[in-house]
Amino acid sequence: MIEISKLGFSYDKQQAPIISGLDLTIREGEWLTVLGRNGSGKSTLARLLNGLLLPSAGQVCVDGLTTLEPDQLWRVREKVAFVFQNPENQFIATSVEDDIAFGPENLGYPREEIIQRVERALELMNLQPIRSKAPHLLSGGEKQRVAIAGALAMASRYLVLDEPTSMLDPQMRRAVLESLHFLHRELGMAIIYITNIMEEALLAERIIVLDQGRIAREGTPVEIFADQQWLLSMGLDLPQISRLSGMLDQAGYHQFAGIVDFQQLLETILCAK
Amino acid sequence: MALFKERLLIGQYYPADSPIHRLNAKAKILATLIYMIAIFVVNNWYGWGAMTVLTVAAVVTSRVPFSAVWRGLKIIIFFALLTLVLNSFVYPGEQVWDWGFASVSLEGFIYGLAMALRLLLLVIFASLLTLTTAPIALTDGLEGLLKPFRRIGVPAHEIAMVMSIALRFIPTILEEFDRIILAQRARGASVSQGNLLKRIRALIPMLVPLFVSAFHRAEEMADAMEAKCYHGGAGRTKWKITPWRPCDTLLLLLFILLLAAAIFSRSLA
Repeated sequence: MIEISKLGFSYDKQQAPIISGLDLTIREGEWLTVLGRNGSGKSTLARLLNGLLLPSAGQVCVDGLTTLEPDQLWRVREKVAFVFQNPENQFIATSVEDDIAFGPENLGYPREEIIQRVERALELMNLQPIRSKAPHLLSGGEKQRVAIAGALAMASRYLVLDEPTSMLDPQMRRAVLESLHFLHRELGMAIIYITNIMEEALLAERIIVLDQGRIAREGTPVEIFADQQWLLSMGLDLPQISRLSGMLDQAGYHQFAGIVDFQQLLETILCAK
Repeated sequence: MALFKERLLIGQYYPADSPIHRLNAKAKILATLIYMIAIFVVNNWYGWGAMTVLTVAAVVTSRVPFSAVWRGLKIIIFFALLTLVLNSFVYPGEQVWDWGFASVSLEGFIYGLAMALRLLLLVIFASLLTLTTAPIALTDGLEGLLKPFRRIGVPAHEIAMVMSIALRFIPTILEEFDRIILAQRARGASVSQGNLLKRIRALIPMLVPLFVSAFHRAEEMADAMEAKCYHGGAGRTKWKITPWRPCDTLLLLLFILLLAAAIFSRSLA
C-alpha cells in the first residue's frame, strides 16, 4: 500500500506549489490512472512516488517505508519501479538482457539469482528473440517492454508509468498495454498509469483527476466520464465511446447515458432495436 | 551524403566465433599494451617482420574480414605517409636526392618506412581488440584491471560505467546528428559550400542543438538510473563474468616472451 498524506511539493518556495495537500492511498494490485491537464502535477506526483523527488510537505509511505529516510529510499525504489515517457533515455546498458539485469545488479543480488530473474523477465515479456540486441536496433515499443521487464526483474510491486505510450505508434502501444495487462492480472502488480489518452484511461479500475496539484475528482471510469462538461472544463478530452453515448443520451436515448464499455454499448443498441 | 552513423563506426565490435573472440577481455587488453611497448622497443627489420607476421596471423585467426579492419585504417594511412615523407626529408644521412633547398636521405626513408609500419601495425592490432571484444566485456575488463588501483584513488567502476554509457549512446547521438543536419539543411544551411572558415561556422547551428539535447538526455538518464536503484559501484554485483582460462594465461606468457625477444633483438642490431 502506498499512503500519501498531506503531500506538498514545490521546486521553488517563491512559486506556487505544484502539489499541495494531496491525500491518496494506492492499494496493492490496483490499476490507478492519473489524469490532468499539462501542469496539473501528474508527472511530479509520479516522481514523488519513488523518491525521484522528495516531498516539501507531508510524506509518501510505501509499505511502511518513507522516501524521506535516505536508508529506506533504495528499498522504496525497489518496490516502486518507474517507466519513463522517452523509451530511448531510460535504456542504460548495451543490450536488452544487460539492461534488464541493471536493476538487480544495483541492488547487489547474487549472480545466480540475477540470472534467474532476467530469464524469467525475458520469458514473461517475450523478449528472448531480441535478448542480445543493441538498443539502437530496437523499436520504441520494444524499448518500453524492456523497461517493463526491468521492473519485473527488480520484483517491484508497484509500477509507475509516465505517459509510456505517447511516443509510440498504435501497434507498439497495443503491445505495451498488453504487457501491462499481463503484469496486472497474472502477477498482481499495481499499475499507476499517467496518461493523456482517454481510451487508455478507460482501462483503469480507478481514476483520479488532478487539477492545480490537488485531486479534483476520484472514481471509477464510469463515474469520471459521466460528467462530460466537467471533464472538458478540466482541460481533458472525452473517449470516443463517451462522446457517442453522450450524443445518444442528448438525442433522447437516455439508456445510453454513461456507457464506457463497447460490449455494453453493443448490447444496448441491440436492445433498442 | 553518407550518414555520419555509417561513416563513424571505426573499430565497432564485429560478432563472430573465433579463438580471439573467446579470450578474456582482460588478457586481450594486457596483450595489446605489451604489444604497444614491444613495437616501439623493436629496432630492426627481423623484429618488424616478425611483428607483421604475428599481426596478420592474429587478423586471420579472428575471422574479422579485412574490409572491417581496412575501414579503421583509412585515416591512419594518411598519417603513415606523412611520417614517411617527413622523415625522408628531415632525417640526417646519405643524400639520395638533393634539390638544394631540400634533400632526401636513404636512412631517413628507411626510418620513415619503419615508423609508418609501426603506426599501421599498432592501429591494426588495437582495432582488433575492439573488433573482437563486445563493448560490455571491454568495459568490464577495464574495470577488472583498474580495480587494484582503487586504493590510490582510481575510480575504476566510474570509468567503466562512463565508457559503457558512451558506447551505448554513440549510435543514438550520431543518428540524432544526422537528423539535425537534415533539419538545418531544410532551412537552407549547408556545410559543403564556401571556404573552410565558412564551413566551420556553418557547423555551429548543427552542434548547438546536439549539445543541448545531449544534456537533456543525460539528465533523463540519471533519473532512470536512480529509479533503478543505481548508487555507484559499492554493493553492486555483476551478472556476467568471463572466466579466466588457461589459454588467457598462455596468451599473456606468449606476449611477455615477445617483449623479451624484442628487447633481446636490440642487442643484436
